Amino acid sequence: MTVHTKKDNDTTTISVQGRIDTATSRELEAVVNQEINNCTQLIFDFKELDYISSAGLRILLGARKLMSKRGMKVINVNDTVNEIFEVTGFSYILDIERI
Amino acid sequence: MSNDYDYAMERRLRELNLELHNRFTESVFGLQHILSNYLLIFPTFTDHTELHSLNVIDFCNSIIGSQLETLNADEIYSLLMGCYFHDTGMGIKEKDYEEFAKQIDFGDYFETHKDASIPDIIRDFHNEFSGLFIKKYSALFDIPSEEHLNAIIQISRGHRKTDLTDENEYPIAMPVESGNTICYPYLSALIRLADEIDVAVGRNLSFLYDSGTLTNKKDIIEFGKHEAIKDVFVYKDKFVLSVDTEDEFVYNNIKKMSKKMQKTLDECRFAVNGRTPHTLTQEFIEIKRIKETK
Repeated sequence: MTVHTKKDNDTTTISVQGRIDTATSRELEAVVNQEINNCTQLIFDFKELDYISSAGLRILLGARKLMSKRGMKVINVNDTVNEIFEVTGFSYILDIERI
Repeated sequence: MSNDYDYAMERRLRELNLELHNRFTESVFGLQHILSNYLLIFPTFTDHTELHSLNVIDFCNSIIGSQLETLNADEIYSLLMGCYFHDTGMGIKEKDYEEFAKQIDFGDYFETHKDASIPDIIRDFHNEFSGLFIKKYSALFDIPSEEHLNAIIQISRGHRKTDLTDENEYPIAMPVESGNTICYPYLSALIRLADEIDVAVGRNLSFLYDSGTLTNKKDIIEFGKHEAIKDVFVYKDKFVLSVDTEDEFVYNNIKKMSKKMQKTLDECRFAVNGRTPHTLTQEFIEIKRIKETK
């Protein structure tokens, strides 16, 4: 998994490439931890994300809690990841933009 | 955690019964709001929100493993809902506490816990509060029948302190309208085990919990254990706690905790294996220490 962060004024975009799973989620958690208090809008760009496990869903849900009064969305969601959001009910929780 | 069975129950439910799957996914939104309420009562307690529920579901998927095909749609729906509901009792509001407390049999608790505060009582009986919460607010979650509601209540209550071998409370084959039956002791044992083994560091996300601010000794010990347990692996025959600490005090507390886990595992195996059509294949808890004392 590779994580890139881009800042544009008060918006932080975290782009993730590869797989978010138990083995890699701590790295993403550390990036979110570093960025989450320094932005008013947080965007997860999943254009190059292949898979997200439950460990990754927890990070999204945790981030959403903190960003609830600011803004958070998940963009460029592909079919594979979208299927996971739908099967788990997360499509009702997260602000999602598909590819 | 193993990821061979990621989202297996959720996918299987969708495949078997789309309507029940829709009811489940539509419930998740409301449940995640309700579960966050526990932070108002237990601001420094280890995570009991929907983040913990996700771990419980994940562990259930791993524990069930290849036996998933033996579960029907009504059982999977009830189990998934139970995974989300089992700790709702931790976040009840004061008015509900007053109402529910009148209905709970506390036994000799107040004689042995003379200084118990309301948060103490809620924590010690939260499975019972969860059951009453589900009963009161079931209409919010579009639960399809009284039979499903009863199954979800009992499975949630059963995540601790209940006798899973009591045939009246935990029947092996409770019929539902579809013609299926629901095996209460197996589903309860799954949540009980999954809840018990959710002890790794990832339970408390670093950006939501700051262990540096803790002052309560019990909370500090709990967080110390969580921080030392780097992962929990589910194998077919055992659960392995991967522990990284040089602190003997923390390590000894983890050993104590693993004995309690083993007791829970033994009780669950007794309630399930041989008595129900299902099997809990894991037999023991193992600690794998990454770093020894210097």
